[in-house]
Amino acid sequence: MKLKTYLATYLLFLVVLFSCFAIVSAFMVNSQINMYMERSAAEFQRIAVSLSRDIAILSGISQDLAGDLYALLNNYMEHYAGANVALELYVLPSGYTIQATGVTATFTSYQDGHFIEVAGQLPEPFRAFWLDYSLDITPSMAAMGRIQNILFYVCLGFALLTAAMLYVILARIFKPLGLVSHASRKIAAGHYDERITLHGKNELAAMAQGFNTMADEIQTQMQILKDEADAKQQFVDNIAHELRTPLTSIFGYAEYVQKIASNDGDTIEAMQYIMDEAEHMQNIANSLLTLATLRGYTAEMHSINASDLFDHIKKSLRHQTAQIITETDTETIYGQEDLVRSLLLNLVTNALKACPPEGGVVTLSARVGEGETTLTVTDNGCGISEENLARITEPFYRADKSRNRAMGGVGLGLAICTRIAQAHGTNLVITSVVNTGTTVEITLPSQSPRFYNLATTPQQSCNKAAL
Amino acid sequence: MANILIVEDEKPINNLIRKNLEAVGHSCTSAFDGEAVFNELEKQQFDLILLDIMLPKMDGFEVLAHIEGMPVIYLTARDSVDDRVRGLKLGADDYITKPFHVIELQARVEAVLRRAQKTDKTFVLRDVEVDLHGRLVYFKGALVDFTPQEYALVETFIKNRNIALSRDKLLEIAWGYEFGGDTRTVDAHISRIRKKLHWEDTIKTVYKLGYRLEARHEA
Repeated sequence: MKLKTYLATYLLFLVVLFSCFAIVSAFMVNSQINMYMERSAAEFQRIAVSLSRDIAILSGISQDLAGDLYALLNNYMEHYAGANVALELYVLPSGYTIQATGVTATFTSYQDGHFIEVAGQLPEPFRAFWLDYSLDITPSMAAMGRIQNILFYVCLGFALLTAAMLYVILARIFKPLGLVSHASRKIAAGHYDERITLHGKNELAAMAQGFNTMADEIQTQMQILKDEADAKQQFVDNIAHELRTPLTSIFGYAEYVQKIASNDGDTIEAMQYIMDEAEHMQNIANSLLTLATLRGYTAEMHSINASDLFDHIKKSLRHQTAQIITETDTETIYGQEDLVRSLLLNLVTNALKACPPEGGVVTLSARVGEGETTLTVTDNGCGISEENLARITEPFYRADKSRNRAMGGVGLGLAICTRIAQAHGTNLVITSVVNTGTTVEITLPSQSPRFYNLATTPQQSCNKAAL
Repeated sequence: MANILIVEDEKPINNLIRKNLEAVGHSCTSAFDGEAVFNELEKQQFDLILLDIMLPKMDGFEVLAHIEGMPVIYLTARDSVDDRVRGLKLGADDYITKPFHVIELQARVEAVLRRAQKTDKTFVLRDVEVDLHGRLVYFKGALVDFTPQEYALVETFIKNRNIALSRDKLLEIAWGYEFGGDTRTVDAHISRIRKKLHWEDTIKTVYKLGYRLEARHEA
């Protein structure tokens, strides 16, 4: 593209330049010749008149007319030879008539040079005399040729200069395109942070802007994909670890029973470990299944009796040391009962685990707001650091790096809670202050979806009326 | 036998390692987090530390960096080569990946103790005394004539006392991998050892598995 543009532009330039050169030089030669012809014609007339006068004088006084005439002519010839003019005088035979009366100048080129020739009769009464006039303009034409040569070389110089300048100008114009193609190649090769820097307000700057926006989008999408892949890898790594720990115990204790245990006490203890660990794996499997089932699930919204729900949770967790306080200012909550119950049970269990051994208080409350009910679980426990808070809902994520299972659970509770919230079209909001406590909020609609539909009906009819 | 500190936060696994090591006569202490290691080190001397990498409070690598001049085998659940190299570079003597076989655990513990020259010189069980350095066996004070294979078997039994060993395992340990012999060769050798040392009841046949040297109270 760049080369084509360059060649086309340059060719056009050459045609124009050398056409001009040809026209100018032809015009110069022509005008030079015309000037010489006019001058020669005038000089011919002067010579003819002067010659006639001299002949008239001679014919009055001369005894040897032919000899004197010859001497006169020689005199003229010598005089004009200095001006590159050759003269010849003929006597026309008597009775010879010439049609043309005017004097014409002609330009003739011979092998030995260029000449302006004028010929004609002398004025009356010497019309029997014929004068040939020839001006040699070879040196003048040679000088003209030299000027033409100089002009040609000047043109050639301009042509070369233009070649270079055109290249520089085109390179500047095409630079943004080069940048774009370079940047797109780099992006294609995986350097997603490559951008173009172009300033100004022209089309190219707009194109660069568009290109950069596209690159931003690609980079963002790639980052999202990479993060998702990383999260999946992390998930798989975590599952591997979560399964390996109980498997180490199961294998180890089974081997212990087979090869070492020598009394019933040892055997029973080992078997208990095997059963506990197997049960733990069972819990992991169930939780994973729940998590998978909840993916993309939409909860069936029904009314739930708030106090019954809270009582049930309190009763399930009555053996805990921490105190559980329930507060509610509504009779009904809307949601899928089993999911909401399991969500709250999970959150309250987590809150209880966070509580100090003595003086722990967990508050479970339901508050009605504008068209929504907010369920809140608050504890006065150890809290969660900011770094952990961001990742706490990831499957198997444990705030404690050692992934200790002493606190129980399989590490999927909050991930399941998040899925349950999503199934209800909302999200968990977790706020925490280290050593002060944690608050988890979930906001559910305070009307059933059926009421929602009724509420939207008038609006729909309005739209129809407008149509 | 050696005094070993087991540092592992998973109680079932800590207990498992402890039971396995105690079976062959080591005395063990359990610690469940990184900081507890230093408390235990203040209280008593250990011949070897078994150290988990993923620990609460202070991870295994950090603990490793603070322990000097003590044999350490670290336990790692990860397959990561980086982790193993890092542990060894920090001065650990060996590592065991979870899950592990009890024989592997004993072998690595034994090897590290031997390098640290903390293995026993002799093993005594009632009338039998074995000079483990001189590779000699005495019965009631009198030297008993043993073939190299018989001695290798006796040594294996002593090192893995109270652990049932399969005939294949014994064949592998006493004769080496290349030996294409029959497991009946093992039975023949065992019956000769039993006769020479009057160990008819001490080397017990374990049903469907192999043999076990019973030495629970004498170790």
